[in-house]
Order: sequence, then C-alpha cells, then structure tokens
Amino acid sequence: MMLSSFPLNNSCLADTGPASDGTLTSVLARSAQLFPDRPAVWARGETRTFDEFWGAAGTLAAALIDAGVEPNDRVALLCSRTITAYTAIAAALRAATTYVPLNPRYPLERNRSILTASGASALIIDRKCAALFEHLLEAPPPSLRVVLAPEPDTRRPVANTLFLDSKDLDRSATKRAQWPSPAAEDFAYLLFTSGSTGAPKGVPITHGNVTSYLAGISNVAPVSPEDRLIQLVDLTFDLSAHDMFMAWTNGASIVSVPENATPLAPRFVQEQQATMWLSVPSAIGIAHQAGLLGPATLPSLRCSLFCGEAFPTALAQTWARAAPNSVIHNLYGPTEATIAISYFTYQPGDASTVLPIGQAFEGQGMALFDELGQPVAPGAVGEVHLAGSQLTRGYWRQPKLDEDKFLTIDGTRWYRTGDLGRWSESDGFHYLGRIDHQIKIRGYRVELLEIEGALRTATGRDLVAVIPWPQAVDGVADGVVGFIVGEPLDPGIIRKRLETCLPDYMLPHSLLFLEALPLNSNGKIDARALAESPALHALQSRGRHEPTDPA
Amino acid sequence: MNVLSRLQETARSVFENEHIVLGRESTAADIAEWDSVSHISLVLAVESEFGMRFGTAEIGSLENVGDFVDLIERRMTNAA
Repeated sequence: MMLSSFPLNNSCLADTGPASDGTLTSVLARSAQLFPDRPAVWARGETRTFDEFWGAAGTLAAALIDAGVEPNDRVALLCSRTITAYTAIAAALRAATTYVPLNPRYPLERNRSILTASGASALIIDRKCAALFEHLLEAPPPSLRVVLAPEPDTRRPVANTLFLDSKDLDRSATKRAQWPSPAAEDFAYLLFTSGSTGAPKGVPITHGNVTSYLAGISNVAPVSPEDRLIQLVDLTFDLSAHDMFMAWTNGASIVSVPENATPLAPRFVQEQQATMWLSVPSAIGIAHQAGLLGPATLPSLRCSLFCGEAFPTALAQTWARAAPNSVIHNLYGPTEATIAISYFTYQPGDASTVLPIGQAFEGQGMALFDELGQPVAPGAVGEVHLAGSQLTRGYWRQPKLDEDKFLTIDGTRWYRTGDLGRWSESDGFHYLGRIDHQIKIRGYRVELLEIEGALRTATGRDLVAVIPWPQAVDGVADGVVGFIVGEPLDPGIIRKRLETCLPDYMLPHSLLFLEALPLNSNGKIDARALAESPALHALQSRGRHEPTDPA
Repeated sequence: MNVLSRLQETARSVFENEHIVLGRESTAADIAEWDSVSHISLVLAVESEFGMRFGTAEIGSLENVGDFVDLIERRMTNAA
C-alpha cells in the first residue's frame, strides 16, 4: 500500500506565463520585467531593486561568459550573505551554469575539497571573504580557470582573475545579443552535505527540481510581491534556496540577516517588518531562552515555516504566542528531494509531542517500505521513501551511492531517506528518527561516521567512536562527544587538527580516552553503553565545556 | 573601568570563565565558550551592562572585540 499523494505528475509553475520553461533563469527574468522597481534583496544595509539586481547579475554573467565559462560549468561562491553573493547566484543562473556555495565558516580544507570535487571552472569571492581567498587558492584545482575577486591588489592565483570592483567587469557589460538558455534538466545548484564515507557528498539539483518545489510550496505558503522573506541560513543550506527563489519568483524581497546577528533574528524581523520566516525549529528554543520571544513580539509575520529537524510541539506553541498573526507549517525533506517535500500545518491545541511531517506536496510521492522493499501497513513503522519531480538525478559523481539510495519499485524511482516514519489517517506521516548514524545538529545533517573518520586521522588511532551527547532526541542533538581507545593524547592538539577539516557544529565538545570500546552481542560498538559510561557522566556532572581529562 | 574591561567582565560572567582575556583583536574563534548560542547571551548582557540596545545591522557589522568597543563608545558619546 502506498501512502502518498499519488499519482505523480511533472509539476511546474502554473502561473509563470510566457516564461514557464521550468527554469529559474526565465522565472528571474520575468520578475525583473514585471517588478523592475520593487526591492529584490536587502543585505547589510544595501537594497537592490529587481531591475538593478538582474542588471548586475547580467554584468557578472557576461564577465563569466567572456572569460570562457560555459553553460553547465560549475561556479563556486565564497561569499557571506551579501549583495554580491545573491548577485553571483543570479549571475550563475543567467550564464546557464550551476552555482556551488562554499562556506566562509567552514575550515579551509573542507572548502577546498568541495571546490575540487565540484570541478568548478569559476570562483566568485566577495569582499567579506577576501582574507580566506588566498589560502583557498594556494594550490588551485586544475578545473579552475576564472576567479572573480574583490580587491584590485589581490594576487592573481589563476591567470584569468577579474576584479569585482574594477573596470574589468564594465568591459564585459556590453549588451549581449544572445544569452545561453538553460534547460529544466540542467543543474541550478550543487550542495555538499555530510557524507558517511568521510568526505562531503554532492547533491546536484536541477532547475526543474526547484520549480517543482516552488509549485508545491506555493500551494501551502504562497508569497505575494508585498512579502519580505527573512533569510537567515547559510547559502550551503538548501533552505536558502527557498528564501531566494520563492521571493524572486513572486516579485517579493529577501531581507538577509547578517551572519553575526543570526541568533538575534527575531529582533531583525521587528526591524525589517518581515512577513515570512523559515528556519530550523531549534532556532525557536535559542531565541526563547534569550528572552526574545515574548507574547506578540513578532506581529508582522504572517507565515512561518520550519524545516530540517524534528519540530517539538512545545516550540510551535512558543512561536505561536510570539507570532500570533502567523500560520505555522512544519516542512520535511532532505536535500536530495529539493528543500522540502511534505508539510503539516500546526493547529493550537495539537496534542502530539512532536509535530507530524504531514503529507507530500501535490504531485510528489512519499511512502513507507520495510527492509525488503515491501509497503508497510498503516500505523506500522517503515523507512520513508520519496519520489517525484523534486528528486535529484543522483549524487555528484558517486554512482555506487546512487545504487544504494535510489531504487525502482513498480516502475517508480524512489529515494531511500534513511528516516523512519509511521503513517496515520488523521495527520499523515510522522518522523520517528534515523535508521543509521546520521543526526541533526542545529538543522545540519551530520554523519557520525564522517566525524569518526576525521578523529582517526587526527589521532592516528583506529578505535574511535562518536555519539550524540547529550543523547539525541528524535534525531536532534546539541553536539557530539568522541571516544578514543588508548593512552591519553592532548585534547587541544586533536581539536586543532579536527578544526582543519570539520565545521564547528561537527566538532566533538569533549574527547574521552578508554581502554576499549564496549561491544554489543553482534560485535558492534555499543553506543548505548558508551552513552552510559561513567566517564561521560562524570563529565556531565562537571559541566560539558570543561577541558576533558582522560578517563 | 574602561569599556574593554567592562566588556571583558561581562564576557567572563556570560561564559562562566574567569580566565577569559579580551583584547581589541579578539574574536569568537579565540574563546572556546563563544558559540552562536552564547553570542546572543553576550549581546544581551552587554546591552544590559551599558543600558543600550543594538540593531542587528550593528551587531552584524562587528568583526572583533575592538569593533564592539568602538560601537559602545560611539553610542555613549552620542547619548552624552
């Protein structure tokens, strides 16, 4: 029995008029025509109208093309949430290329490995990231042919280096008679998420995937030109694609929270009179703890979306009190299914402890299968499988992983999420945790196996283990702790080594040394026994931020 | 006590670490306890200590502790 919103269809934007070729590029061009004087983006005190924004994107796109960047090339971005970043994304789409966001907060090695794995032919760096740029390009990957850098005095690490603030671009800004036209099946962006093999894995998303998502979410949370969508997640997180493309499709504006002020986002909503919110649910807890979510403190919000991790009902209640004019939707979906694929609308008085993930968007597929690939009965637990026009074609250059994660059942191509779920007649699908070693920390997907791989490299020890601690609830954790077998090593040195390859949210907050790892009856590492180990509880009683001593 | 010293005392209180030493060039990366969650606590504690409220754009533009000190001093001057 398939529990889904079938039959599948090829969703595409219904109201894009003459531009409805299923690409983001034509959608953006259409908005620039229809809403030239409306604001498209606000970031760090600067505003650009659609006309200015699309014009600047054209200038940048022309420079890329003139420098030899070709359609379907990857264009990497090392940018904070600045006007330059948003312009670069629009430029990449206008040049019919695929944008690949790097993250200024990632360690150098992680950005370098993403830049290399993507095979990007161009890299755009904004002024905020200028200091990181020289280190990143000490040994530029062979694919990189063009760099657009902020400072005219920056050295030229590749021969074709242009400068964003110079006349270099103006020379390329001559009107182009012909622009390349991307197709719906071309990749719009390529994101890298935590990978269980020890390296980030790439997920390429097509224009058609995104326009299908936009059609689905528009039925749930429509946007009008008057809306102001707050943008508070990193560009490496696919929720950012919702903010940008929902706004720009509908003539609305994104208002971008500066990175340093992200935890103060509710205050930013007040300042900017933002009308729409999208974040991970844990952002509510952080803001509430800081006293930023008093009753009716966010009256301008009319729609709030939460995605990326389990959504406790208590947090929804807190948000409903702070934003009394806002509808609240819980969205669900992995990067592989383009931002989100299902939704549940919160109602006051909901009795569940965690909000359901509800039902799939119209035209998309969602079902539960057991380990033998058989549909499970209503009420039984199974692995959540997804299908439809939002699914990626597969991982970036990892065919073996594709074989494992994508399968065809009765002629339909399904993606195995690794999430456990249950279905009920009353409110659809419920998320019940993971079947593997993946957890969520502040909404980020974290493969414990990737951290263990880094810990092995950093310590030179084979026997290591990483567990969420404090223990994960519904797959959501505050952080992780690492165990290492053998004589104690200097935790400070290990941490420094880990910082070179793992983002901050993946760094173990404590390291403990054991004589041996506990094993269960199957001979596997017993994570439960580790979580109950006296050493860990001693650490907890001392406060988890204290330096770690050998156990 | 100058602004930097008061800022340091506030940070020690928020991060519950009496050994924290802040200089003008210090950033969150230099203080183990200074993560995105405690950042909000620090900003709110500084607002309380100095009796002022910062805009998110002001907070977003801070690159280091020196910028924070300058912002506070600017506000104090304007209020005087």
